Amino acid sequence: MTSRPPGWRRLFRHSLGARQAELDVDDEIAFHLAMRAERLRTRGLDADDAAAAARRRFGDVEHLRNECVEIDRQLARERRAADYVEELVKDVAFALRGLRRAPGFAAASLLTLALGIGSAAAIFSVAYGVLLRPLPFVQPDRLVEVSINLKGTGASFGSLSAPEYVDLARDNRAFSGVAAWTPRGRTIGGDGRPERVKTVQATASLFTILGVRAQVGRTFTTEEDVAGGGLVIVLGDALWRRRYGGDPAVIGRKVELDGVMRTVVGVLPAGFAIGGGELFTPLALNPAKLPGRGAHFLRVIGRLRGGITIGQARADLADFATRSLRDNANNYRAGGFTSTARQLREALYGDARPMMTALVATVLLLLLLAAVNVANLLLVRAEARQRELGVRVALGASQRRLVRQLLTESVLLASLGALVGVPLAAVAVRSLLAINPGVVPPGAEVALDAGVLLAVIGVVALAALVAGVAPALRAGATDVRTAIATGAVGGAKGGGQLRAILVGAEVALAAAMLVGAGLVGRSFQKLLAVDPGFDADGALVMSMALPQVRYDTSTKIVAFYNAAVERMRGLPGVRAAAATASLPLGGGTIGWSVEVEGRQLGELSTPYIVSVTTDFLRAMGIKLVRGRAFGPEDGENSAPVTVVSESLVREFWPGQDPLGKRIRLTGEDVPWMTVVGVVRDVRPEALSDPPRPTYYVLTPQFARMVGFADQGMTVVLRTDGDPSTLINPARSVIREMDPELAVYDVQTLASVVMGSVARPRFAASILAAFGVSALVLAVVGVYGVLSFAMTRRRRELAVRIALGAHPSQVSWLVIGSGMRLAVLGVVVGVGAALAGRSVLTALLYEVTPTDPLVLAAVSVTLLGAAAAASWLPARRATTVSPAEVLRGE
Amino acid sequence: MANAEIDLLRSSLDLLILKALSWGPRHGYGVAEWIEDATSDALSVEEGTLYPALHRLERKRWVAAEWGISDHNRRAKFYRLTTAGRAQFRATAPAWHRHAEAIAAALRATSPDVARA
Repeated sequence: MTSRPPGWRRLFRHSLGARQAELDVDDEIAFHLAMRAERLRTRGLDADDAAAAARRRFGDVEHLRNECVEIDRQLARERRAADYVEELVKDVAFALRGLRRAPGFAAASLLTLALGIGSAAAIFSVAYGVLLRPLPFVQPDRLVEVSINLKGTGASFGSLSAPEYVDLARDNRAFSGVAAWTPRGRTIGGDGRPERVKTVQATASLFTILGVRAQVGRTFTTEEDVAGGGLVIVLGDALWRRRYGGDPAVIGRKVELDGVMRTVVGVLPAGFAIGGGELFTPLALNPAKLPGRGAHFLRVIGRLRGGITIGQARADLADFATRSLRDNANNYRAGGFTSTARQLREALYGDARPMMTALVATVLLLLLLAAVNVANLLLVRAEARQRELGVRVALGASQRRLVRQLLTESVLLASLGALVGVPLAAVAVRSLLAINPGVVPPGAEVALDAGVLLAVIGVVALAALVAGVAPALRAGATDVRTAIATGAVGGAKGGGQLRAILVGAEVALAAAMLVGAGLVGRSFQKLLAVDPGFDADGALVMSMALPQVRYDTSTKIVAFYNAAVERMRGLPGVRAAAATASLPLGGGTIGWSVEVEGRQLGELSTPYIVSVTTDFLRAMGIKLVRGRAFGPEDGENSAPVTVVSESLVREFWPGQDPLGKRIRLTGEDVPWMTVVGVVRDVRPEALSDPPRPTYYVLTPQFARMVGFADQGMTVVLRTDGDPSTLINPARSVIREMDPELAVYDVQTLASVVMGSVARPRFAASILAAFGVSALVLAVVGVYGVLSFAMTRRRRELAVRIALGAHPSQVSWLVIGSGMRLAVLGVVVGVGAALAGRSVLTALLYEVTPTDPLVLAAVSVTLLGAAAAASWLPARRATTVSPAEVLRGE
Repeated sequence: MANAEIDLLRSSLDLLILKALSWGPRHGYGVAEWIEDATSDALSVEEGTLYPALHRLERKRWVAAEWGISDHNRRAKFYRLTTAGRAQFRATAPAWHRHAEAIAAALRATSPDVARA
């Protein structure tokens, strides 16, 4: 009945403008009217009458026509949408087929994208949480930490003493409110499950100035925050869930804390983490009996009064310091103090900043490297497809269509990369938080951030898009015949240069990252090589704190620790046992100034005091340099003796014999102690800290001299065997002695040392991981470009070989072109790393940013890797068979 | 012809078109002729309403349209039933029968008391 021209329908669909639709409707109606008129004419009407009758019979032509046009327009719109989806599906299928046919390219791109997206999103999320996310308090930017710097101590951002805090609270003009808190480890018990917890003693104002309300119950009141006011507890969210199963009925419950019964009144919201406190109690300062001005133990937070800037607050604090010094001159003989304020965020998270900055810088480089690498891979791929694209243009594919197809491929790659990268980022964030060697401060809310994720994916996707679409635009513009004629051998010259620049940039980025990783790694190595001053191998340590309620006299405390040490010495395999009030690298150093016989007070620095039982030096493996260690002859009631460190001797008695010299603790009626021995220096707080003058005193003698003993001590057990086998026997000893005592931080001495370098170790390993990733990406880049260049130069190389070039000459030609890029990249990258070294300085230890060893190692590694990456294509170049290649043209 | 009759016919126009096309593709005029013959020219007034109906059916994907050449060697738009259109016709035709017969039976009723079975 009809003949249908092939393809007309598609033509119709695609050329369907609004005008064409109208014309079609007009045609259709005209046809109908003509047919009808003709029919009527066959029945005898004349032409005019027939036409008029046909129109009459048809009805309102204009109206019906418009109705049809409108329906057709809607239909056209629907078809366009359907076509779009259909084409998209086709393009995606096409792109997937293309990727499957180039598995090397697909794998390299996906790996790059996933690595870039995953690591960048993870690190940026953490950095955002630590550095930028507003603190979970009301108007957090109006909160500041108030601190003092005691002159002569070199310590910055120090704590206030109680009288200083009370003065500040009363006299300041800058703050609408101030609050004080101090951390304190305490034992929850009374139910046969003694547990050591981090607690914070705080003024009731802490919660009001932060604007934090309890999630269950209430926080404590000002009335409870006075001496004898109320024995109350506010639980932190984590402890509440862990120990009390998140039961709201815990409110009103009695809990024994350090042997004292207290009532739980509330639970703080999750994420509230001032001082890492798991539990909060009132500070309950007694204005009539405040601790002395010399005891600086209060961290102070203030909320700026409306309209007051932090600068004005600092001026106010300077006045406050001046007034305090004037009014209490006697108490500040050593030189007084200055006082300042900094943003609370800075105070809480400032420590994490250097590491975060280094990580962010590194991961930015990695992200950039990933983007460059993907761009490069796509460019190479497009170049290789130049011929295919040319053919398709020749066959009538529009440029728009080509762009769309390549765009689809890029978007598909980016999406697949994100698909792998996002879970990678989630895992990375979780494991970062799990390892968390002080990188993420307590309370910092860190989670994979959707905004960060989108931004990162956007950057990588953009790179993929630009790199993916550029070749299509070029393909559209290229003369079709040239593209086909030159085929794989040809291609735009500009592309080659661009790729060379990109590869050079990759090598440079990798070089910069490797320099960073190398410097931090070398710092860590140097740190590990530091002699801590004691023998870290073969010793077990465990901490405990005796509750004041049951151990209310120094006699009871001394008796307990003596007995514990005595019983532990009896355990099989134990060679020496001792207890100390402050374990080196254990984070509990105490400074106590001493008077040196024959010297003025205040002339010398404040040394660390370490209170120990008799066998401590032997248990720790601290070497005796002169004189003798403590012995059985040094009893509680015998003449007080002390053993001092070499650095103390150097400062206190330079060039003199310290043995027989006398020092005494500052205080009322304290007897002199005679120096009987000198020991090697230990690193008191961190391996990177220089040793400080230290003196050791015997716990029983110390108790007699000052009238108190430390409730908390750490027991050290030295053994010839594996120290961890002592854990259970030693725990049992303590359990038998006091079942309500919480034993904590049970670990080998070696792990104490490792724990003290957890942060540098983390920095070294994560930067190393990023460095290796960068190296891999750079190698992939160099390899990809060279093997492609190889394909393009097959003809040239074939001619050279045909003309008698030795294969090794040919392979050097290829390697040489790779190495030129690599050398350039290394020079630029190392230069960039040196220029940006300030990012790293805070993480370096005894390594200068220009460490020749690191710079040399990085250069050699990268050049070696580049050479290896060039070698494979080079080898293929030598196997070129001239006859085959030239015939193939 | 009464307006009431036109409305009634228009509501069943879709069904008539599908029926007209069930023997093979036709152009609009062919459909009109078939309906004219099959209904004894009951649709002779406002014949043009056929076209919006055809275009609507096309939009519903029940018929597909293609331009071709008519028996008289003129360019004409041909409509053919799609699979969906055929299915639609099979589904609605019996319902229309039942509906028409029910109404016819009701209109034939002679007393207000309808006997219930």
